[in-house]
Amino acid sequence: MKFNVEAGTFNIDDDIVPDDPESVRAANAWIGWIISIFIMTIVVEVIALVILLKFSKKLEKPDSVKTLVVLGSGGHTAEMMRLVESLDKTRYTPRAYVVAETDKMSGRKASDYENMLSDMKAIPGKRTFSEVGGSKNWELFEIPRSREVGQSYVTSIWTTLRAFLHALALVWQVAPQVVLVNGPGTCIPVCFAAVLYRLVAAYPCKIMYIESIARTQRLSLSGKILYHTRIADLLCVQWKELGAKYPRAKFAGRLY
Amino acid sequence: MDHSERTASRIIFVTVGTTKFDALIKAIDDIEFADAAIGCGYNRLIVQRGAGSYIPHNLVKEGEDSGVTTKGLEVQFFQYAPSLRVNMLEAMLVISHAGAGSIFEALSCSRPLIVVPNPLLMDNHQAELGKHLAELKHLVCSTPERIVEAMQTLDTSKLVPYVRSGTTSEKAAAGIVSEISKAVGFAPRE
Repeated sequence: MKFNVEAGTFNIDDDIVPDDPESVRAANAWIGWIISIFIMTIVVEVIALVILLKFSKKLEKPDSVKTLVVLGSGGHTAEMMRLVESLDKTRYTPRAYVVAETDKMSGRKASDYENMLSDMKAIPGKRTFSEVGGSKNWELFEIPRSREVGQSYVTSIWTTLRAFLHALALVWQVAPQVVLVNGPGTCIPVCFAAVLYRLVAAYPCKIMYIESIARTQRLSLSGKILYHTRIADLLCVQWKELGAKYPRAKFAGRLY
Repeated sequence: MDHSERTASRIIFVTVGTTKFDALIKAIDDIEFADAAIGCGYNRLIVQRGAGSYIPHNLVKEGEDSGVTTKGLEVQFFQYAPSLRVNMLEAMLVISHAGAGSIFEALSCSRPLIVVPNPLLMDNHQAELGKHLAELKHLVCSTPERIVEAMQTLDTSKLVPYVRSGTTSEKAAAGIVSEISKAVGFAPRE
């Protein structure tokens, strides 16, 4: 093939091998093979996809889920513990709680509550939690805060990275199927660690965000981040007016 | 204190939760407030003062926790208690900081409530909750400077009782719990 500069077109030269019936037949056979392999691949892929979907449907319908509960300071912890109290503990089990390492009060609230549950189990005649199995079906973890109040932004880059790495290690260790968060600063690194985990490990880990009852007009910073990145599988708000402003948020009553 | 005395006591309960809120405690530890309380028909004042550094010295002797004012108001200060529910149930009026926990505790006890948001808190989303509930007439919002006026002008007949979750469900958080369960997609159980 040569390029004709004046005409600006391609010309087929005479020196090309004339059509040989044998080679044409061979080429047709090859094309046939390629097409059939291509079709077979598609068929196999579709079958695999259907099987995978059916299989993952089963994965999505668990009997109980390993639950990671992120606690924060003061009001956040009170609201979260109120939610945990309302959950069916035989389905949300085992439970892992995360607190900021400087927040001893929240950790105590969680362990007091869990110890109370195990005590109930021990008292005959009381409602039992024996279905949950094991003597200790809960754990408490600490991670560093990403930013202390008044900390400079330069050093907070390092502390945020440190918090994220701790969150990653934690999520890998716990392997939660459900992450419950309601907005303290600690929850963002944990959520992003959970997202990375479900992408890399192809693990069905769901993030449930319950916005604080204190938010009546606009989402908190954590709420906005999770709303706009769309990484939360559920985003509940506790006021109808707030839900109306964010179409993907759900209003389903309040914790109080 | 015997039973007849207890039923006769008309208590104002003030709480700041686990926060520091010196401006409110200072406004309460004021003889003008105490006299106004007597004028409104109250005879006891109980104050949970929290983590603040302000030490009450006007209504009680400095360093003491309780006392009686010249006009006969029994005053008692304490720092913390594991639960404030009993205090709220005994009170005829609750004055609280704007923390969600304290607010809803008082509302669930069906007590008239004056909420004072702390103006020193940055990104004051607490004020947002207080204002919202004040618009719905579940409570009255005020400031440390205007607390006397708020108490004197409080009309409890204009307050609307707070019904939990705005639904008829008797179980707390039932709606949120069912949304979470739906999102998890549990297998049915026998």
